[in-house]
Amino acid sequence: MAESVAVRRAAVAPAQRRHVERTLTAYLFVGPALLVLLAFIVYPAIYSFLLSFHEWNGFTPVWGDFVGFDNYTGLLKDPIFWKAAVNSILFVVVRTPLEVGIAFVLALLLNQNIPGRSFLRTMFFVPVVMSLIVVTILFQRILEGNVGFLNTFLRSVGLDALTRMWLGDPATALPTIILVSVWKNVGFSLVILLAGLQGMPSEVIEAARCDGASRRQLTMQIVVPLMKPIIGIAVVLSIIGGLKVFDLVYIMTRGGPTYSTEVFATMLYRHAFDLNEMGVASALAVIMVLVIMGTSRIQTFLLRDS
Amino acid sequence: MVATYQYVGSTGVLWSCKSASILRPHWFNGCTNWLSRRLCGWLVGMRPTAQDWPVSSQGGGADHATAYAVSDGVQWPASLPGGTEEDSSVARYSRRFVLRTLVAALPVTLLACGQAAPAAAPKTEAKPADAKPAAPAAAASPAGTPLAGANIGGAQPALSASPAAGASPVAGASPAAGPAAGAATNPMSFKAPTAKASTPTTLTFWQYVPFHNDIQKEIAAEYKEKGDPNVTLEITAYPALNEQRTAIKAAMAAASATPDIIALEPGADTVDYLTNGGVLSMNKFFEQDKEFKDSFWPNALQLLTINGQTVSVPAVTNTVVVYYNKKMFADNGVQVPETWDDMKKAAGVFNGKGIAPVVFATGEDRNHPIFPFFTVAGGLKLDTKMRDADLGKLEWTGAEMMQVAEKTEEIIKSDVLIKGSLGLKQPDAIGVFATGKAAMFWAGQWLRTSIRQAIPPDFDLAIFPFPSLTPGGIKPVLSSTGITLTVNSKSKNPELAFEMIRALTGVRGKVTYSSGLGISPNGPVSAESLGFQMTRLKDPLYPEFLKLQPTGTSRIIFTPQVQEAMYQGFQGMFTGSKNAKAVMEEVEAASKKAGERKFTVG
Repeated sequence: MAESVAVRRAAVAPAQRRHVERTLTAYLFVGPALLVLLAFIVYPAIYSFLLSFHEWNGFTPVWGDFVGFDNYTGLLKDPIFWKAAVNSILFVVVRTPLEVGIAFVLALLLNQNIPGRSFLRTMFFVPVVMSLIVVTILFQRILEGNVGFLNTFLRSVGLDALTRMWLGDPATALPTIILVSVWKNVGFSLVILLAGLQGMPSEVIEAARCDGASRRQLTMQIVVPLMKPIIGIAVVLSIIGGLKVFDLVYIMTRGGPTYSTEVFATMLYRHAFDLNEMGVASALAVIMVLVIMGTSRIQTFLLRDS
Repeated sequence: MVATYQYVGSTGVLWSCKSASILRPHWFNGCTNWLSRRLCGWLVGMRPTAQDWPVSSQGGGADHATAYAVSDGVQWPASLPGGTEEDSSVARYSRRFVLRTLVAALPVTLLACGQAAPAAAPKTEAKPADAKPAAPAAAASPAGTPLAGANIGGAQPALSASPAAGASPVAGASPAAGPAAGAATNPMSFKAPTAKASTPTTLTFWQYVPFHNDIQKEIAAEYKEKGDPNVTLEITAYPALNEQRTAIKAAMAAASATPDIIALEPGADTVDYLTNGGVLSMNKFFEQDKEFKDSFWPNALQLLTINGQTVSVPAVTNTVVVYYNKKMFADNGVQVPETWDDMKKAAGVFNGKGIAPVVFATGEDRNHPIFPFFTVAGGLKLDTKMRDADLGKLEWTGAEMMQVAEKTEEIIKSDVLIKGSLGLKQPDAIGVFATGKAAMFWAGQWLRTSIRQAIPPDFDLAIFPFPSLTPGGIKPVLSSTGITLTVNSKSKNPELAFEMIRALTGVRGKVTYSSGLGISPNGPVSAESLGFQMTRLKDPLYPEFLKLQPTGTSRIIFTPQVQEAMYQGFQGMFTGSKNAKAVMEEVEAASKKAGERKFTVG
């Protein structure tokens, strides 16, 4: 009996060793990436989370006092926080459908055999690879109220009534930034959707055609349902991008005028670097993460449903 | 199967037939589509075209094809190895193309992240550092222009000598410029350092004004050559204050010995840096060298003195004035306005001609929207009261500050300032002014060079102080110290760092420094020095700025919360959504929230 166990062990051992070796090799391979992940994602995330329960002005090597949930309750009582929340949500709710909608229409068009297709495809993608600084400076010049291209153009064609101080007016600042953002990102969704369209099984479409589907039916009842997962991905990416938008808003308006374009990220920056309230900024970061994670969860849920 | 030049599987046979009606030469298709075909095909794992990779229903290339083809748009062989009828179901392909789409999107995502990262560093516009607030000092300025207010800077003693004879059209006085006329080199002698490095040492210096870089390097090079060959200054010029401040805070939090020398903005930062033990007080160094201390405007140093410690020393001082287009004034029969009422009349004339009277870059940064308030505070001689309110000793909603706020509201809501200025940054504003769309430009001395570069050669540029707000009142000019320099408390070479600061800002350094930038010196300089500066600058406006310096009043706020409330409040005033009372109430609330200030100024 004992012998047979020993024999069995002897037989099993090499297999186990092989297993361990293989696992070890795998870990060795992912090791460097894991280290980077720990150092640059996990550690700062934990650090930031803990910091959100403290006071700290960012100057001293050690954090200030532990303040419990004060940073959070302070934020929830701050009307500007709610303003930023509304703006962030507006940003997403308006931008995402616009961006993905336009991208989908463009993708459908570009998927056809129209002349200059490659050229157009490149052109639509150019804003995505353009430096954000360039984009914002460009648009600041275009949108400037007195000598900017847009207003000058409107005036020259007699549409004076439509001219606005686009970025200087609280009523138009946020919509303007959203449109710039759509312009900048539409190419990104376009690429995702186009890749999806091109990978679509065409026999289904052929079958639908044979069954006499009109082009509209074909698009709405065949292409769109098939594309649902891809559209879902484009939507999720756009929503996440929208919730954490910072650079565009910061460079164009710094969250102003009078907080009309304040979003989560600009508020976070203001607390961290203008007001030296690192704890509050960290609390805001935690809230942002929760909101983004929550949104993604809802998304995944809806997608699974489809 | 029809040979087409489209992606396989993208639209299928029927659509390809359609495409045949679009007749294009083969080479055209080849050129336009080749690259994207290859790239996309490789990326997504689709075969480039059906043609290139024929799929027969039996064997042949089928094996190969299965591995790659998502769908070839033409035929799908039923008997592919490892494949069943079910495998070719829509579900399976849709799963697969989701995966492939993700793979295709990955490089794009990486690309986007890569380019977003540097962009994320917010750029607040290459704003000259000097654009920052200055401060008051109750002390009478050396030149004896005892303003009741809290001014910065003072009269240059020999300014009337009109240094570079001939260069200045405003030869207001003695044409006998004497020895002042155009020394080719800095007339102040070089002073050897008292502390020297025993081994080669590199001092690090982090500043936030890239346009100061060259002149700082020049002075450091001279120091290395004449003073201490062992010392090298390594300057890191951050694009703007925010970036530099973030870096400095990180260095302080890490108790880092780098940088040795820190550029620091007057105001709240001086308080934070000192009270958190981040920087050394200059007091010790001043005791060692009285002459150095006396070479600065006392009122400028007062602004930088927190809890009795001088936190830093200024590199320059500067003013905010009104630039104007002389020819445009003459053409429209407008005189330089003396009072606010004159200004309104002038504005009426220009508005009638479709020219904006005054362009102002309200959207530039956190300070510009508050400039009108600072200006009125100076003009009504209430700037010291403003300091009191800033330090929590006076209510913002009290009579004095309300008076300032109401006058500010009058200015902001008048038709003197260009419309929509909240959307304007300095470069835009320069454009408006240089192209003759505005007659005046209310802006800082730091823009002099940029304006000169933007205007056409025949543009007759001149300046005047903001008109007086009450008949016979003073003409308010805002003033600041620009960047100030101090030593990191963790520096390994504090003595050497101090020597370098002295070289940059001391008796000789200040002459070279402001001659390189055309921004007013940080203290009085001799007539000869001005002569040297003019030979280098060759801009007749420079002495004009110096003339206005003595009347310059503070534009510094020490309490961050108060500054933030003012920034937001006055933006609201510019948009018309808030009146004086509402703004002052918000500022007062922020001031109360900030609690009792734990520091003193001056």
